[in-house]
Amino acid sequence: MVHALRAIALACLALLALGEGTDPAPQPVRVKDVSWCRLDDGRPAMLVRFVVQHEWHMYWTNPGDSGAPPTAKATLPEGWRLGAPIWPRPRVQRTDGETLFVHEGEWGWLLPVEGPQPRAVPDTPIELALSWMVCKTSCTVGKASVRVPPPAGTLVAPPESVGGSPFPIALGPDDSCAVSRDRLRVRCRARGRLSASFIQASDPGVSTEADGAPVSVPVQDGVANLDLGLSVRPQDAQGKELGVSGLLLLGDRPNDPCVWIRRNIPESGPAAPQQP
Amino acid sequence: MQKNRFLSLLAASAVALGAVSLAMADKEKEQKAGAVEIGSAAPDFKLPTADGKTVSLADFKGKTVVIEWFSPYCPYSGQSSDDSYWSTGRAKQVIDAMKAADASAVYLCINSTHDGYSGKDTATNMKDSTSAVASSPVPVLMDASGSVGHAYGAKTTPHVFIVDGAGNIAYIGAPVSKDGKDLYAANAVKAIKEGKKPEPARTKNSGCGVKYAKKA
Repeated sequence: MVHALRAIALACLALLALGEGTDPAPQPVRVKDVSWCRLDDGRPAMLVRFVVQHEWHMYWTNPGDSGAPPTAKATLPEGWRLGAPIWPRPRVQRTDGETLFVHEGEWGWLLPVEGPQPRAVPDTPIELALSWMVCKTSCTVGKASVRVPPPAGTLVAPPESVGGSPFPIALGPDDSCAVSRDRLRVRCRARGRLSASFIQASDPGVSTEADGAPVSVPVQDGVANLDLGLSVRPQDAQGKELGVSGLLLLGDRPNDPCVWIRRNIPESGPAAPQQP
Repeated sequence: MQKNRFLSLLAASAVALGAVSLAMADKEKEQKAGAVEIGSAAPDFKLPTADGKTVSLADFKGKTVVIEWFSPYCPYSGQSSDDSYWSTGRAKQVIDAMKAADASAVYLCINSTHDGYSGKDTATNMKDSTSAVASSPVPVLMDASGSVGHAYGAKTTPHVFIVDGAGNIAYIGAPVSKDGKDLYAANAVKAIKEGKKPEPARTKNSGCGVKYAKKA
């Protein structure tokens, strides 16, 4: 009798173990694929497509009050390196007194690859190591290693958006941007949108009067006018070039366009107009 | 008569609207007032440790105190992961470098996770922390109400605030750089010991949001 019970118990344990092995908990993030494209400036780039499970979110380059952006490391041939990633428009999430800048559902992340010549493309496979933080009510971290074959054929421009999240566009010839030691001023066509806001990326040594919160930008006669106070602390720049950067979000829908702005802070003197 | 009633209603509405605006402004002020700044006086606190002792900031008057916001459930803080400040040994590196720079400096952790998070109370949730925290001499102070976390404006785990010997905030931000090469907190303690201001005095913190109790 005891032997029979022991055998049943062992069989149950074996079934449980088998069950665990065949039905792993779904991961909140998966890398759908990585493909090659060519940016407007001629650089080749890898487009990483993430798929984030419903109710979970990943983070923009500036996560907001909490969170951490994904990171990428690549084994590249001598003389090659990864450029600064290009981030699509995040969603602004306000909960429990926190403001977060997040990516949900399917979204794309562009990783420029910079070689010895401006338009050169690597001719060997790249080992890409990705890691990320993903949160719902709690947070977890994930990793993926992807072997990316060298590009074959002619590279095309990246899509305008992935999963409904658009990549930023540049300021146009009718737009303007001026920066001084204490102000950032941008005039930008609102492209038919009636509202706009600005979110700052992570700029060591430079903060805005909004202290990380989204800034509402007035839109008048079809033009968004950003006039933002800056506070510059060179001693906090951690050896990096002082600059202010961020996204001008035109409209308030997730698929509305956004404009990437990045300007170096001048050493001194008044605001000088700069070409877009 | 009707005109008078209309004017009265208009005046009452204006007063009500004004009251709402003031209440909103006060709320914003209250939220902003809840965060310390570089150079401001560090709010005092008296909190129990996970093992039943009581620690207050005033106990360390005249010393430099590093206060790290901590969570046993965050993979960037006390939970075991490749990115954990504690389980990767980065916390130990910072504490060792801090002690080398100033032997009298003090390192404290505060856990402002609310009671009931992850289905456990704050006393038992500490048992889920990595052994790196449990085996270190660093006391973990329990702030289940979140009042101390809100007073400092702690947003993430980890999030570090350094109080100088005069009781003022000298550094706010991450304990280390993302690549772990710059030990910001230890460098700040060294600068304070040398009579200088930490550079940087502010860095961008990242990590899990502090799981505060919801305000009533």
